[in-house]
Amino acid sequence: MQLRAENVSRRYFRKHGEANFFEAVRQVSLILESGKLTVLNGKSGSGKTTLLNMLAGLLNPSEGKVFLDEADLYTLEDKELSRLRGEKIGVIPQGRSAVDTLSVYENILLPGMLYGGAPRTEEAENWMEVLGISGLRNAMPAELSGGELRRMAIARTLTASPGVILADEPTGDLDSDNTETVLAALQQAARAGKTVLIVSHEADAEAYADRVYHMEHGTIE
Amino acid sequence: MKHFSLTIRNLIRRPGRTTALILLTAFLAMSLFCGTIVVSSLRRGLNSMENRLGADIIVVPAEAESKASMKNLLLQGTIGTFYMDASALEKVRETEGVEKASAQVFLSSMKADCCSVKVQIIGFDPENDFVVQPWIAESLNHQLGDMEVVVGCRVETDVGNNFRIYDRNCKVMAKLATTGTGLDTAVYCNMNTIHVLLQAAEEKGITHKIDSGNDSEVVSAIYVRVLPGADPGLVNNRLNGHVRKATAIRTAGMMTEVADSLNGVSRTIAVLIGAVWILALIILFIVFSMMVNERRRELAVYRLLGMSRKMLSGMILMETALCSLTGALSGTALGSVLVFPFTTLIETSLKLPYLECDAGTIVLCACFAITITVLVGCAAGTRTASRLSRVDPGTTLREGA
Amino acid sequence: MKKDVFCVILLVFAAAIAIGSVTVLGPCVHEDGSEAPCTGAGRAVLCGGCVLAILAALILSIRKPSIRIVLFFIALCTAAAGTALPGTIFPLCRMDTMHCRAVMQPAMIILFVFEMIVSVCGIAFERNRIRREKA
Repeated sequence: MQLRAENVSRRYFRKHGEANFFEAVRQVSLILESGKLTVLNGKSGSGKTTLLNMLAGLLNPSEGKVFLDEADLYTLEDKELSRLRGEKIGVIPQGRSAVDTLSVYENILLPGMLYGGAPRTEEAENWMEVLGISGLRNAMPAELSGGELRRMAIARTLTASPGVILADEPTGDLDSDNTETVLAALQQAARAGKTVLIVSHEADAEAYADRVYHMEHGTIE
Repeated sequence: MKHFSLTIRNLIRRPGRTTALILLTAFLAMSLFCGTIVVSSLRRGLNSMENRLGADIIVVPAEAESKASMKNLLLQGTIGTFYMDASALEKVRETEGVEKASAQVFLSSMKADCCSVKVQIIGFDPENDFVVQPWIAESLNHQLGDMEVVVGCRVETDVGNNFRIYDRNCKVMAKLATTGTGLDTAVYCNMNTIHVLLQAAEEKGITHKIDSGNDSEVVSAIYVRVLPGADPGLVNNRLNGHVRKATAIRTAGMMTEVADSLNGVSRTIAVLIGAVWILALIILFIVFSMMVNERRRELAVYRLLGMSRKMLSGMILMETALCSLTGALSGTALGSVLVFPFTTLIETSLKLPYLECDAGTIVLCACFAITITVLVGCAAGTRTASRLSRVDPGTTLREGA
Repeated sequence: MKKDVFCVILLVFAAAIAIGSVTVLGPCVHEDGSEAPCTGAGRAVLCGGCVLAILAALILSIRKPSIRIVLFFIALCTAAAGTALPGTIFPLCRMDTMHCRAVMQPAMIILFVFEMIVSVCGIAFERNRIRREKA
């Protein structure tokens, strides 16, 4: 699956400051190919997360288009876009992204079953084992540390096995061993034919990347 | 896990919020159900009283308290003992416009063995009576004999038992159907029996203020039916003029007074229900508004994972509907526990005819209360569902990252 | 605290039964002070309420779930018997409008039924606790 951004920009209105608006992303064009792991790095505030959200179909660009294969994401109805996001695009967001009323195991199985699919229990067991959270199966998110929550979110996306994986700071909160495990898993997913993008301000991920982009002040260099 | 089981999990794992919603809707349903049942029962009691009275006019002794006593006897079963000369009956029958007239004699027992309180005993003439006899005929297929009684439904005794009054044994021949009026606590006998009991009372030194001397020549009330086409008001006036030391009361007027009281009670109940609903709805809206902030992050995750806005608002509405339905059912059940076992208490407190609704009306009131509560609960949750479904996952999940 | 919820509710209802039976929910009172036919029923209900209160206090003081289950079961049986006290086992006055029939009997039956429900919930809760501790 190819994920393609064409001249996307995102402007935010600003109440205070020198200008009326702030351009978080400026005229960015980007192609993410299947079977490749791409890393997008840059300092905090460079627009990486905003770009990732636009690629994921979560944030409407002020200008430009985003295509998943031939589908222009932002011309689709919410129902279609949501289904696309549920079945084909997996997002590992930067923040805490657990459903507090579901256990770890239920959280991991959730995406694959929103549209009536069979529970991917084997894959869930496998990824929980790989990421070292098998023992937390019945725990509730409130009982988990930041690192454990991050690994749960990664297991959730990998279990669902979407065509595109967009990970925003997936190794934040993780120790070095777990960082390696996570990056290796994402690389493995890319080798299996998935389109993988890692957004990170740390250097670790670059060693696993097929391609590295650097973002600064809203543009890619 | 399908959406429904997801909804159930969300409800079970947020017990505080779920309980609050259920309690609020239970309160709404309970107040509506209890209010409609009480008002329906009051109206049924009023209709029953109208049917049971059977007479257009009641003639009672002229003393000021007799009229009030008569009304209290009918409404609350308060003991009434007042007497006038039996010759009043003939005078009533002779009055122009009167089709039928039938007399009754009242007596109060003195702590009958049944009840440790006084019981109203009503003697009537089975040959001429048109008020009590049709009612008794529903439960007894022959005329009441001497020393035989028929009891109202509220008198705790069984058919075939002996009923001692002033040391005289009377046999209980039948128990009457409920009327929801004061007549449910009365004991009925024929004129021969009442005169025996009057005598027995005298022997025990209990006098009944019979001014006219001989107790076989007294009556307490005369029930009058006017001729078809005759003006009851005109006949009432004639009776007041014609029959000395007696007052004629139009039952329509009495019914109007009772109906006015009933309307007053209904209005009060409506106001109370309105107040409860306004308060509960305000709290409900506050709870839902608080939910918006509380659940933004959770719902942003659902959006992130691919739930559409429609699916998300559907899920929230389903949660609201389930809570409302559970609350409505619980509230109605609790309302039943409050209203039905305490029917007698409600009746004696309101001092109005009160006849419990039939099963069909109860089911109707229950369905009404449940439906309205669920609809209102869902309506209250709709705006919240709409707001929450528009949560921006990108921005929301980034907050507090 | 969560473990004691049902004991506390049991105690509250038992107190309501006991206190109610000597106040607003009690038997008929004659003006001359003589005993009404329903006085015995009132005393029996008071005893029932006291027994339930003692059982609730015992359950609160005991931590072992198996013993708690037994005590809840005894409370269940006591409450079940309690529903038959006013009117069935002990006589009441024979007029429906009397206080004992209009107020005491329905109120006490309802309270005893609530006690039964709470006892059943308590038994279920303690059994669940045993199951979770074993697991």
